[in-house]
Amino acid sequence: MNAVPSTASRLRRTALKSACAYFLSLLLLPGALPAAHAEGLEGRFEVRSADLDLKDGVYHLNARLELPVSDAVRHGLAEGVPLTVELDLDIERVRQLLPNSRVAELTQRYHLQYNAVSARYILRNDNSGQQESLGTIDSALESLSDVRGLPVLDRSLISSDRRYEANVRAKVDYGTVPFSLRVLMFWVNEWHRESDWYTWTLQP
Amino acid sequence: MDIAAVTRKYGATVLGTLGVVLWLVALYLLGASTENSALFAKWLPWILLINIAGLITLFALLATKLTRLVRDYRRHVPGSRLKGRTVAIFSVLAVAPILIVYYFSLQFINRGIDSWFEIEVSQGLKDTRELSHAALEVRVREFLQHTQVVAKELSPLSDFELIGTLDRERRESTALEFTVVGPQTRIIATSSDRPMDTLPIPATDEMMLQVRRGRPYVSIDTDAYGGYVIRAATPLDSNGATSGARVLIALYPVPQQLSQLADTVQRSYANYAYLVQLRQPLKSTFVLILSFVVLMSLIAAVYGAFFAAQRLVQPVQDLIAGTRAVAKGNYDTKLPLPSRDELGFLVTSFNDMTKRLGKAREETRRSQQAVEAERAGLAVILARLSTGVVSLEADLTVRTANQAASAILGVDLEAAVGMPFDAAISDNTLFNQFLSAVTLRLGAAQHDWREQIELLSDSGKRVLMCACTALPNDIGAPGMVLVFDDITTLLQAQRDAAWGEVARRLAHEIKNPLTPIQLSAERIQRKFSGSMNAEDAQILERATHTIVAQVEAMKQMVNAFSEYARAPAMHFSRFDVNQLITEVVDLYRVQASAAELKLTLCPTLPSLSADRIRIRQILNNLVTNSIEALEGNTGACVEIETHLVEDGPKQVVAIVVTDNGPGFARDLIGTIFDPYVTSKPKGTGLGLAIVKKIVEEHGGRIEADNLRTGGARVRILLPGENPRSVTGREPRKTEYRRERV
Repeated sequence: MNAVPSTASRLRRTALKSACAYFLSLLLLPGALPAAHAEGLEGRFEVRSADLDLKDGVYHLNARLELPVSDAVRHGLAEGVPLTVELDLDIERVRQLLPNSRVAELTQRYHLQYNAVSARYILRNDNSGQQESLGTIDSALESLSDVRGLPVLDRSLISSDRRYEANVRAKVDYGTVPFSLRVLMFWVNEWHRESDWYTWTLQP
Repeated sequence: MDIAAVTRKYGATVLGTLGVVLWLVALYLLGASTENSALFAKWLPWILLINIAGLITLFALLATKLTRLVRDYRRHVPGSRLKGRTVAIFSVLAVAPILIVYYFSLQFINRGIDSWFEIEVSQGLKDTRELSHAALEVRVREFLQHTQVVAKELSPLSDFELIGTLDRERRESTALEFTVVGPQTRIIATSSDRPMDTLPIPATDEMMLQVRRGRPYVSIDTDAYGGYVIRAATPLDSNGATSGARVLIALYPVPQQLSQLADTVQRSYANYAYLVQLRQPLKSTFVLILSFVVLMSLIAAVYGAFFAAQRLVQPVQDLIAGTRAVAKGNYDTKLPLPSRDELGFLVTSFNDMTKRLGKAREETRRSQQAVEAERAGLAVILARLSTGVVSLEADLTVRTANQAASAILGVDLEAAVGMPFDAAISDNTLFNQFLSAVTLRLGAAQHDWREQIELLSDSGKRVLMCACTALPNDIGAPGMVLVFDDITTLLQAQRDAAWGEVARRLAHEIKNPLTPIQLSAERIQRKFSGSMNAEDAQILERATHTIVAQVEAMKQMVNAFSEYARAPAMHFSRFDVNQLITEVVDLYRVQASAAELKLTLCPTLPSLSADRIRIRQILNNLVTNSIEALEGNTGACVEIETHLVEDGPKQVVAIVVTDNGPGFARDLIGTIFDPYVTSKPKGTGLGLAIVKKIVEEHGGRIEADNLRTGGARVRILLPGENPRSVTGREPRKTEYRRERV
């Protein structure tokens, strides 16, 4: 009959292994930690599509994001870990020989967190304060990744004989890991990601 | 001390201290940043950078030290093995406790952080959440039932009737808001008790989807103010599953106390989730910082071990280096005093020892220098001596020989130093005769003797005064020293002086009575020849003639002696000696001499400053001698040569008269310049003596020898500038010169 190892001996073995692993990682390259703690953002993160829709004299942003949400992140969200998505929008007037001039700049921040008491996912627009209650994580993530009708620019600011360029970028933060911890573990990129800029030409 | 010197002296130390302090502060801040991340978040990259820079610096220093130690170890540098062992021991002593502390610190970190997430805590929070949820669920069910009842009552009413009825129903219940929506969630009627909100709560897609499926919808939501509300929705019509059916949406408040409790539970749960999320990053960070600090401590400890080992080994290395320096003869080595402990005592003793050794060596060096100086002085004296000095080993090996010895004996004895004495034997008969005479004595084991040795050379008899003395045994090298001097010239001078005195006395004592004798004989003849008969007169005439003739002969002899003895005033003038020689020879050619006269004159000969008349007399004597010696010889030839020769530092004119006659008699060659030495039946024997005298009066030198091919040779060396004409001094009448063969 095999003896079940006690908690103390397990801890000792774990500590010994950790000591060796950290020493090796310190002496060689800090590459062992991410593999051991890949429990954060993972996968592709990008702005898959975006456009500006003119409605009632106002341009509205429609964007579709692909979020880097792994099963571990889903689990963390279900446990109450917040997920924050930030959209950066730049609209620039294209100029010849000169740098483009910025016409409009907008940062829109969304906060998704599970309410354990109501068992609902609360998706809050930090800019407007509006929030949405969603029953499932899928509907919450779907709502977060699908931005619809976000008013961004008045039509009057756009000249029809000019050419404009719109750029959208998304940032995602998983949890509320302090900045110091992120800096100390700078090689572990599992709490914060930034997408590339998605650029398209705006036709007035 | 100026600022630049202070900067040079203490700059590195101050900078190093500042760097270490900065690094330690950064290390402290790194640890503090895990406790208060907000405070140090801004400076954290810099803190990290400083720590990494410090770590890299320390590691580089350690690597340098280690590399140097390994290199020294392989090169067997003195002290490197001791230093290596000391570093290893110190490192083990320092590293082992650090590793033990590190191991247990890791355990504490793991246990400490894991203890925050004990299963009981997690389960307790979940249970609390479930409890809160259950408490709200009762309300939820009640409000859902109430909503369904209201919906049943409102079902038969038309849209218009709903407006008034809805408000009444809301007032009769605890609901905050009743809203009836139609197709596309169009609001048909609404009644609200939320003065802050002008618009009713919108129907969500999720809500409408569920209701359209015929199932009532109810959820607990949070409002914009952080409070909890219960939202319920149910179809009004029996065919509520259709898309056009009306739906009643109700909003109920949660009691404030219950809402606050639920909010507390939610916050606790969220905080716990926050901690759960930080669990692994915190552990990783703590372990990372701990490992970082431990690594730096390890490197610092090993570096410290190097430093301590260096401090310990340095005096030993200094001692080894000092010992080697002393072994190489560098007695000025002075080791720095490391401390006042046992090593310091050892170093002090070493310094004292080297100081004494240096002093002793200096004294020895001075003594040696004095001996060398004395020896050099002696060598100079020996070299400048005209006396030959040769020191021999007991086995007759030449130890030293001076230049005079070589010059007297005509062999290079200095080249024979270290070789047997007889190794210098050559065809030089002079040295061979000397060696025979000396070895005869030395062979008889006579080491202290003095003897006059007569040697025969081509230029005549040579007389050496030789003395041999055994070297004292206390100098450590038994042997003997031969001292010899060529006294031939001295003896010759003595003879010349004696002959001069004889000649002067003869001239004085004999010449005076000769004139009265002659006059008396002539008077006798004149007075008595007339009174005698013819026979007696004839006898008288013959007798007086004989007397007069003999007196005349004696006068000539006395005049010759007088000529030899007197020192007439010299009349120096500068003239061409070649021309004089030509004139003299022409006279003899005019006399139709039987001998051929041959001239070989140097065209570049400088003019000679001498008494022309006396030089002419020399030439007449020599040519006459040669012609007389060649009388009766066929093919007789007299050759006169002139040339310029080096005689020490100056150039002299050489006049060489040679003939192909019988040469000088071998037994007379040593005294050929003595008066009354002649091989001719009619000669007075004063010719060459006078020649030698005139030459010496001109400061010159004369040599006579026989040619190997037959014939005699007389060689005269005359200085270009006569000493008396230049300095006004009288020429030396007698000069002792060492003659070369």
